[in-house]
Amino acid sequence: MKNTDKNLNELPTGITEEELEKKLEETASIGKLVQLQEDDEPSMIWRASLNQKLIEMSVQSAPKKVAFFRTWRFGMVAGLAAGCLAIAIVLPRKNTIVPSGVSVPANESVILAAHSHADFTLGLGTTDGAQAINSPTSEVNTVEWTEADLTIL
Amino acid sequence: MRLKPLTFILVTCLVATSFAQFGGERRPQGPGGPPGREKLRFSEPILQKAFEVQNQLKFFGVRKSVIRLGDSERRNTERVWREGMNQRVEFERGSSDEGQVIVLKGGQKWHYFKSTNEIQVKPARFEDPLRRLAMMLSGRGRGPKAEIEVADGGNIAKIKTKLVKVLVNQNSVIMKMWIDPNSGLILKREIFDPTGRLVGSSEFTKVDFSANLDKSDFELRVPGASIVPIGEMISRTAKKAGVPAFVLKPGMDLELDSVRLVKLDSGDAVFQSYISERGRLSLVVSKTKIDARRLKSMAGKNNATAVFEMKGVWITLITDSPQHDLDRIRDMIIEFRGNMQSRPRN
Repeated sequence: MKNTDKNLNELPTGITEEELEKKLEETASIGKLVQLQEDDEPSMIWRASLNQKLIEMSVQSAPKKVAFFRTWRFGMVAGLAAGCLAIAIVLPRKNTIVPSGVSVPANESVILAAHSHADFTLGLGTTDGAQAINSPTSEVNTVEWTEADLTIL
Repeated sequence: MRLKPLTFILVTCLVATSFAQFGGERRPQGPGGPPGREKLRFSEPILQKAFEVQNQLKFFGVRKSVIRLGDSERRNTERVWREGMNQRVEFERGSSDEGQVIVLKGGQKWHYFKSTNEIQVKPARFEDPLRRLAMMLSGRGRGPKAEIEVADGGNIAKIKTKLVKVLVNQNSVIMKMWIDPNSGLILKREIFDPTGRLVGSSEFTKVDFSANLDKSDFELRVPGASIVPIGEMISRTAKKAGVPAFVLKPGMDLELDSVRLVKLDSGDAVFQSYISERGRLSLVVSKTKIDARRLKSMAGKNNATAVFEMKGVWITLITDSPQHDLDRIRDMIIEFRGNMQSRPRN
């Protein structure tokens, strides 16, 4: 095989197959020698070794894949279980009315806002936003002087 | 009647002692009791001056104030008469609090509501904004330690000012004050929430330091108006909200500053604000259950909170002071049994 390769390599470049056949026929001794050679097939050893390596690699990575899918499946099952549990807890009990589409005012934020309000009205040194306690009364009957009234002084 | 020399000296000493104890003024004795006052010391001379002139200022001025809470806003134009620790504020026509008059005298605040012909009586607070600032600067508060930046503030009410910026977390401005370096009067203030939103401001548009003030400027006499002391405000707001009139036990260093109703989703609650040397505390009494965990997470690390049930209602405590032990304060809550009737003033 190596010899054939060597012989082929020694042929002048640019020669066609037909010309080669012709030359072989011309030189019968060489032709006979060539005919005596067994049909050479391209070597597939490198390809076989590559396949072997690929198989080995796929065998090695297979357990990881399995482990990944196992984890993922476990996660999915756990997630589903947690979701079901959450729904079971959150779902209203019998006879409990939950208004739909009604936003519940955050009492906690109202209280915190009042706390902050008390803080910054003090910081401003102005009115603290106090509310009247009594019920509204009719206008207090008093005399209010206008600027025009005061000019007579 | 002639006094013997020894008796005279004894009486003089007693009067002097009483005067020194109360600073020449009668402190209010509402639930919670009067707190002691420690002397403040600021490292910035402009702030020290603003604090020291509190009881010396004399002027007439016009001030515009804005208070913004959530989506509500109150705008007022106020006429201010001030002489030492006495002050009168009238709210001009077109203001949110039109018709109200506030007189601060003798350590008390007399707040007149024309619409209901009532006068609410509460403790006066002049120096507390600066006291709160002093606490923030010292880092004794629950929040981050504040820092000060001083710069020229331009003119406010035609007076050249120094601008004092109060910052936390290096560059977050929470308050700005424009101070007249000559008089020490705070001419303008702005207060910001943690997101930088302006929540309140007050600004003088006119100040006259040579105004002639009259003794009657600090009188508030409205014939027929009912006087509502702060204790009674508790009783009546509690009655309106349908909850017991819970207060902090008198004798603590926490002094009741204000009482009002706040609207919760299933009814009104009584909101009380207390002040001490160590900071502010809010006490809320409601029939509505308050979510302790949600409140705590919303309040952040700058406030301590406690929620518990007492006699069928919910009590909520919030404080910005790390020195307020809420467990101890919880044990100091009592039911206030004051006079439920308002008295007409003679």
